[in-house]
Amino acid sequence: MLRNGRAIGAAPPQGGTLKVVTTNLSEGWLRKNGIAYSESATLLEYWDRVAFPNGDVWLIVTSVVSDPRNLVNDYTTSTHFKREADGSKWKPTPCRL
Amino acid sequence: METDAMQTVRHRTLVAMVAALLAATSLNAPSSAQGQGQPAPPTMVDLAGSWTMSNEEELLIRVDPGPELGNFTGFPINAAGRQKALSWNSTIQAVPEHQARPHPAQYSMRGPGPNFHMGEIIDPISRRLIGYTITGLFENANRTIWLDGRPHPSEFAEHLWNGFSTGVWENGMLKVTTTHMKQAFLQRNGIPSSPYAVMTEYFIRHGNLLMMMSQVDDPIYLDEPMVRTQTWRWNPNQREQPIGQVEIAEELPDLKPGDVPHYPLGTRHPEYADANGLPFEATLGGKETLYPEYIERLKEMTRAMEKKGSR
Repeated sequence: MLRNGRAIGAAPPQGGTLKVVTTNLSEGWLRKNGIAYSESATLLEYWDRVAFPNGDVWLIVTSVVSDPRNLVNDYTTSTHFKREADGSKWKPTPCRL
Repeated sequence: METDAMQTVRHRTLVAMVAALLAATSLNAPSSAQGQGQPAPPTMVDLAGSWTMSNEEELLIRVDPGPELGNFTGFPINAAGRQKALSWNSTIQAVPEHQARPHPAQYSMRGPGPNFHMGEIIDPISRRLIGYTITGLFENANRTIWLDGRPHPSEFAEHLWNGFSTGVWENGMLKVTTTHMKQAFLQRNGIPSSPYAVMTEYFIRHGNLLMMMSQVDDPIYLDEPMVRTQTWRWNPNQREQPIGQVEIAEELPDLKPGDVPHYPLGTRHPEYADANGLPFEATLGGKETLYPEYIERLKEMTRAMEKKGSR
């Protein structure tokens, strides 16, 4: 059951989906224009990987934010990431203030 | 001492237990075909039901007022696609032939809705699930996804608003391939899609959430496939709206027969860039603009704008 008590449908996560539940979040922003979530928020994520006919592999993160203090309904987004051929572009740099 | 009646009851009970055991064994055992090394049947997930769109993150793009003229950000359009998009004029939607035009398959799952119902097509003899229907799409361009292995039609077959779709199960995900779509659009500010486009979709259900990722591969107007994701929530109380009856009205009294509203070739639409302080070039789309490497180019152009005082 999700925290809002709605029944989950017939299908459990299948096919290698990674389901992630995150609690104990510090309060913060859902958007950088000030839309806030509280410390009571729960983040539910589903991570899926798909491969398209042209060979591209994508990672999709479907996330659902539930926040009884700041949200009337769940806030759902889906974000996709294209798999790189190798790690040559991965060049993290320190934050600059 | 056991009577005949008691013996009969005990015998019947034993027979019933053996029959139940045999039935359970036959349900759980692999079929003879599987026993001969055939692959296990694919994992299927029940997608049937009513689904309500969830577009919190893209509300202003997907519902009214919709995307701005000249905002092609995020689209890997090529030069031909950009030229066609820049010449698109929204007045085209007011000509009689376009007023009741359905949404094409490459856009209909992405439009202001849709809130749709996914229904099952069950073969009356085998009772197997052989297809899904998606109803509730704009102007009745409802879709059918065939799951029975039938081939796609000849390349010379008619192209339709909903195209022709077949699906296969992959690890509990429904992979749908759609061909035979009409010349149409990917976004309702003129970004085009050709009849040669092929769309691949993955429908992935997570409890009461449905996530769909689509990839449109168009050799005419795109440099690389266009990828988008969208989500819906399961809503068993949803009922489909009646089909919108569109009354074709005369909205362009000055339009002469044969006139097609458009912007002439060479037109620029800098308003979106100007309003958001963006370099005009960055709003024109293109595959290079999709990737993190473009950030450096964006910074260069922004610095140049600041130097010129145009930002």
